[in-house]
Amino acid sequence: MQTGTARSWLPRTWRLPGLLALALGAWLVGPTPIWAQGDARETPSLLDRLTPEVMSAVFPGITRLEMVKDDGPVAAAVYRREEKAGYVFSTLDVLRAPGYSSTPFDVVAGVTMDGRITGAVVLFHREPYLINDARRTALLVTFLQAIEGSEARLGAESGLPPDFVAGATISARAMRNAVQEGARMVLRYRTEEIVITEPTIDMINFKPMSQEQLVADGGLAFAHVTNAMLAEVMARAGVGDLLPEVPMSGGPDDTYINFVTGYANPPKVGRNGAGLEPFDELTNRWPTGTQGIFVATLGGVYDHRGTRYNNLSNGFLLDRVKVTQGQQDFSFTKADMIVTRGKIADILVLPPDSGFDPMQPWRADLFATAVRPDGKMERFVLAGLDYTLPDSMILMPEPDPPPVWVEPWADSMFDIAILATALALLTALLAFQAQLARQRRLHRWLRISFLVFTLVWIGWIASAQLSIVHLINYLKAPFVNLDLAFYLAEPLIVILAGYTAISLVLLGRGVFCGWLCPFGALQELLAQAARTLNLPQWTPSMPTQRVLWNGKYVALGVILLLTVVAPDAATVAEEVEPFKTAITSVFVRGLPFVAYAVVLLVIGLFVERAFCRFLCPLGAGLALLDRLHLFELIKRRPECGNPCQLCERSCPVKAIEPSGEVVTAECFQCLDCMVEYYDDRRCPPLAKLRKEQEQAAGFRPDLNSAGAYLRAQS
Amino acid sequence: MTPSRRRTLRILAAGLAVPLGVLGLQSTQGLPRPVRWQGEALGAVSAMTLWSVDPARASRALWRMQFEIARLEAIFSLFRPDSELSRLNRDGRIERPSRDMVEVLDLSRRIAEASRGMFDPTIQPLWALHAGSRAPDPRLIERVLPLVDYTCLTARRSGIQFGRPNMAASLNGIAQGYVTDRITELLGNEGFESAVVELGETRVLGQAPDDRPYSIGLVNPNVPGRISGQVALANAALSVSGGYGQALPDGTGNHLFDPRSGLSAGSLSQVAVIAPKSALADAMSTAICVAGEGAALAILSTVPSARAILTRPDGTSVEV
Repeated sequence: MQTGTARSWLPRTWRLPGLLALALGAWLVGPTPIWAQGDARETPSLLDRLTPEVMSAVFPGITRLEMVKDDGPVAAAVYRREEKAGYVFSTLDVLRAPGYSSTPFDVVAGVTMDGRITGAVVLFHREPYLINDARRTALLVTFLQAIEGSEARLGAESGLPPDFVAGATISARAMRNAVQEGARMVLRYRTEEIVITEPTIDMINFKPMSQEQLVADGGLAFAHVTNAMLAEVMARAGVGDLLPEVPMSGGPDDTYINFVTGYANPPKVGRNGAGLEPFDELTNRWPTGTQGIFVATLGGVYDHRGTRYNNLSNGFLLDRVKVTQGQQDFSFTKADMIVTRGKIADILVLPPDSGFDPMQPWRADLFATAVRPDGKMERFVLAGLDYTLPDSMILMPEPDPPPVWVEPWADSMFDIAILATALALLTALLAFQAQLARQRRLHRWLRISFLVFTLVWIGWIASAQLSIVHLINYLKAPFVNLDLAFYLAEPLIVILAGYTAISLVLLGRGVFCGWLCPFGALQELLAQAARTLNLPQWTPSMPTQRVLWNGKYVALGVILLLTVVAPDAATVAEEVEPFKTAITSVFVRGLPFVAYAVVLLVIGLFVERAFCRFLCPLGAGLALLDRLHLFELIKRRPECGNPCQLCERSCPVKAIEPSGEVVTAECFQCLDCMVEYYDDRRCPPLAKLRKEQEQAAGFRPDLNSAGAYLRAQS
Repeated sequence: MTPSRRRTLRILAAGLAVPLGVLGLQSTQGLPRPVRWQGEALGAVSAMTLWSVDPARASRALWRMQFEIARLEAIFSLFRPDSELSRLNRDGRIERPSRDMVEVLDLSRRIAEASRGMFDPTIQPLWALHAGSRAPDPRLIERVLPLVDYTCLTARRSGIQFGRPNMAASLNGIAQGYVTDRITELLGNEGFESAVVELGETRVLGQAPDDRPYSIGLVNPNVPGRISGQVALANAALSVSGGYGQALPDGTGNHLFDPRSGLSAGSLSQVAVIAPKSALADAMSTAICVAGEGAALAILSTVPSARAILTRPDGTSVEV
């Protein structure tokens, strides 16, 4: 089965979207609309559309449905044995999604209370028009998985399913979007009516949680006091020699009290802690804005209530608990207590005007009393519990989406760091080039290493080859109405382009061409190998070379001209650059492209950087702008060119005129000539000076010969 | 062995070593992997699937393509009041139009001429008539028909303008194809070898990574739950038109109008055109759908290597 194995490259799930159209369409009532639509008033009510056949497909196993009567998105609540199981809605009602033809389609779908899509039926469909975004795309995937089982229901007439499906207006994916979006709207209106714009305490979500889970979650603060700890606390409070009001029982490790407290208003805390009835009392029978502190004694001989809160003489004060927030103390009386029957657990009520801020940390102190021999009571703090409402009890507003271009930058932080390091190193190399050029071997070694890095990492790994395409894009930017993000989407290219622009203005085109261009690096490394192998090198004479140099300007001119008059042809002309083939695609490209790149590289074996010097349109663009550069990196002496031709010969790309003048537009800043310039055994003026000094003075030659030479000159 | 022969051998060896090295480098690259984007373009459910040995590079490219799609949407969308097309329809003329707009109108004219007006970019007034909830009055259709005439539309770089008042253009039959072409070509220019671009129309760049053409299933127009056939596609575009795709809100038919009668065309239930470019395939499939089986050959002959699979209402199909 050759086709069977050959197909394996296509992930199975990716065939699904196309097939999903068919899944939805499988219920299609036929190509004719089942009811005339076009005006909302003519749309049958949702209930009429929910025939038993439709219902069995969208929400199987339900026993009753009734329309929800509120102002929210139209939906029917469905019940399974009197328990609400979810909602059924129509995308037409909920979204009224305008289509391409400004008519919507109608998908009826069911959704459970927790947001799972139970099924969907296309009643009829028209061209969809929905806006997609990343968030919804993520939801889509969930939906896909949820109805993946339906794949079994469809199939091709015969043979294997195709890779992709085409038909007039396949709108399955927009339908899925609509179903997801509709479900979200239907649910959101009914389950969390407040739209969260700032951090809000979660008064909506509830799930059964044990005390241990709540403590672990931070919903409850917990204090465990043993007899031994009680004794210690009493000693610290200066009542160590007295007896506690409630006597200890058992050994030092036995529990005196286990005490918890927490903010009672989130149902996760209040309802789980105090139980349904007390929680209901707090939220429904007390004035709106009432807050509650949940306190409970879970074990031990001591408890947080005591008995005195029952006494009128005591003002019914619950004297064993005090809540403190900032400078404010909150005390509670019997009237403030919502007690839980059968448990020593209470909600302590804070009136709406109490000034208590649940979002700020607070502290609950649990008091105990020691009895003096004279019967007088000494109150002391048995345990202090610090409480901060955990994040799990706070609903956060959906964060504003960051600007679109942030994503690729955040994704490539690591690559950006590597590139920044490399550029810093390159900047240092150029800044200290005089020192570097005095070290012939170090220079050679650093140069080759950097070129390897440029080729392998910048080029092949990070695909950050600056190209004429980028230059043209930047030039075009003011004329086409393109989003800035289009340019910012490639962070490494942006950084390299910026660095190149700055280096171009300061030093010339050579910084990019000689150090940062991956294809240039590839050519130079091959040329190094060729020289090592002693391959013959063709060096054109200066007049010939001057003619050849113009080749790249012609290439640039043709591309620029075509960009204006025939953009399609320009994209073909841009293929004069083998960068896409050799660097970004790592030669995984069609044979003609690969062959062209290979030919250029072979030529490069015999003519150093032939492409860069004679053909590269990007190099031409940079060379033109090179005229603007501010500083001369390459130093010259009066003897340069006449009589000495050493540097000229050492220049691999022959960018030094016989007159000794450097043609910076053609210079790749490789610094090979500077190595000669600073070599007092090879540079004739320096060597002459060194010999003179050695003979005349008879002492050791100045190691810093260049300095000596310059001093001798002045 | 003479030194010169040794030298020649060395040169030859070095010349051979480069292609060998390139081959070696190629082989380290592993299999291309697919990266997929889904979304909307010009109202159509859209997807782009790009195969690359470097998925990060592919997803960056797809990411950038979305900006190009957005740019073209701002030109061709009928639903954005500020789009170039909306401005043209509102004002009847437009100064200094975008190159894209002129090119699409040029292509439209080419197919309109080939189909003797069966495909007409100025169909919008008819469409607007049918977009209401009721079937339009035949007298109204009679009055609108003269407004559907592509020969009254002049499109130059200096300006576009309608020859008669109240004319309007709808590029639904071609703009999606044009966007598909643009994106496919941009991806090709970025050096990608294999991609399936589905921006309302389907265009395939290169072949599937196993050097097989992509197979694209055709929906059975009579039983939308099934696939009626498969088309092998490599470096080509496929456009499918069919009345079943979009029924009219007034219930009188579908979105494909016959500019002669002003009513829906319905002699073929589906037309699938395979052509080198999506924009042409898109326009030709619409034209054939309207003009019927008899005119298919003449319309297809305007584009070399274009062919079509026609499905008749009785379910039989014929390849032209």
